[in-house]
Amino acid sequence: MTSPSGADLISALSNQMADAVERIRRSLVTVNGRQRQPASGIIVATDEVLTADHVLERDDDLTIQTDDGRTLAARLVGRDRTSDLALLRIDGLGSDTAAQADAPARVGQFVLAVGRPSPGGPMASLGVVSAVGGPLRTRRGTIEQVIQTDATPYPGFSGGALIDVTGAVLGLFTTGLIGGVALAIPASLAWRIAHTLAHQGHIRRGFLGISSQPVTIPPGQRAGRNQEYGLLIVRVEPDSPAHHAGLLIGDILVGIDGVTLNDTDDLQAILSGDRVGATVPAEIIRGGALVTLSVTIGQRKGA
Amino acid sequence: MMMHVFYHTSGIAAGFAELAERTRQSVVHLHGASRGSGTGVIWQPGGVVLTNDHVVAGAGDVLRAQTIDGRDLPVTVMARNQDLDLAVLRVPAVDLPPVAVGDSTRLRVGELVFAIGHPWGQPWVVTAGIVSGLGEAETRNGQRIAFIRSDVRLAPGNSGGPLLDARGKVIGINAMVFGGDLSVAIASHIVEQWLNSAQGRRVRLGVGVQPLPLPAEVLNGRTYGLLVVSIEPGSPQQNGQG
Repeated sequence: MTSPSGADLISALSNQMADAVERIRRSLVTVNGRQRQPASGIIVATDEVLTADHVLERDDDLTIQTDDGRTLAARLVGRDRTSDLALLRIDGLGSDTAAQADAPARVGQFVLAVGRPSPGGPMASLGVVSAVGGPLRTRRGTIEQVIQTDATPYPGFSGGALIDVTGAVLGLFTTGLIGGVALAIPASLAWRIAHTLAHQGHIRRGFLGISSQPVTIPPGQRAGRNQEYGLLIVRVEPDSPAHHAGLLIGDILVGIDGVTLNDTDDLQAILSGDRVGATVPAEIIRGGALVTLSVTIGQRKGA
Repeated sequence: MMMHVFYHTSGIAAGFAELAERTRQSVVHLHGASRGSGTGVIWQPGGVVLTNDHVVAGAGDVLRAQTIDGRDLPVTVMARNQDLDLAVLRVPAVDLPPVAVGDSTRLRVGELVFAIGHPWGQPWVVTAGIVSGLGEAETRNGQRIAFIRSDVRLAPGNSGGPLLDARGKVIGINAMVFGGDLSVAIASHIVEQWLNSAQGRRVRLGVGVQPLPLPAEVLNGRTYGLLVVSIEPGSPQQNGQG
């Protein structure tokens, strides 16, 4: 058996990548929702397009353009500011839905960023998966997981797809989470948020109403807990769940609902949508003593 | 040691290195009297070089071409077109290997492409990427020209150089760099169309030739002739139907 030559392998890779673009292009639309540069969107159901929240600068007068040249009116179903995702419903869309990749993105994997920033056809850039990580704190909130890539983010690529070399979607591409940085929301997370938006119109996230910073608790002040770090409360919002529970500036928050809190990521993880409205114990160290207060988790506005 | 041999004799990396090494022979470095330089590509046998019009315009009267084997040759400008940003030159070296011209009308977004040029004056630099998009623009006189966008990293000095496909065939002439991450090349079928009209609708024989003084017994009133030194596979000559 002779192995294929290097020249044949290069041609094969080249064809495979062009085939991958062919496969995804019918599932990519142009999204018109802002003054300047149009953006991209992925068809996730026969009448639904998932796009980036930040490219929709208005709620009404939204249109999309399909691969076969149709311009259709789109209705905003819901936004999730935290993950920079928004779902659109389009009557009569009926195009091919995008396929999610079977496996999550791997660092080093070849990827293509594909968008449709203008009706003239899809655009693509080549790169690798640079990092897969999370949770990531941005000005928009904390997102569980993101993919980072070095594929060039052309103007209007937000809302487009990060695909593998078979054309399956690894994530929804956006530069809106951290200004200008090419990131993608992993497909499984993006599809899950799309599903929730389709049924609820929004994503619920818990709210406490404090600002805090991680601190090292001196061994003598751990109040019997075997915990080196906690969250020092530096601000309590008036009329917030934390305020009503009696939390004070200077308290060190060490646990909520039985879960140890070492840093702000632990706190964000605790404030999930399913805890909204629940009354749970909050453990704090106040004046060297462990105090347990009862707090009713609120719902974050604008999430 | 076995791994070492394997790496150098097969695989994508070695294949690409061979492709780059072969096609670099068809690229020249164009420079004028002042600073700044551009790239040219051997498009046809007999020293016919394609480049950008703005490379010729920027060089003044003393344009010269350096070959990869170190020759520094004078350049004759045969034709220029400012609208297409193309120029065709001739250098007095008939042994320079022309690059194979690919069919840019069949390009697809996502295909692997690479460029060879002299970014910031660095000689014979190879950069790779993919076809990002295919577009059309209109010149001032209404002519439609096809162009290729790519994510291949280019810089000043790459102008006029070749954009090549995964088989090492030229599919465009690099012409513009926007903001460092979007490069634009003029599709090779546009180059061929212009070249055909600029050269007076010449027909293609598919032979490589070399001028040489004729022996006295075959002079027949002439002093020079063209020796056929190569025949392209599949050309009219090889098929015997020319």
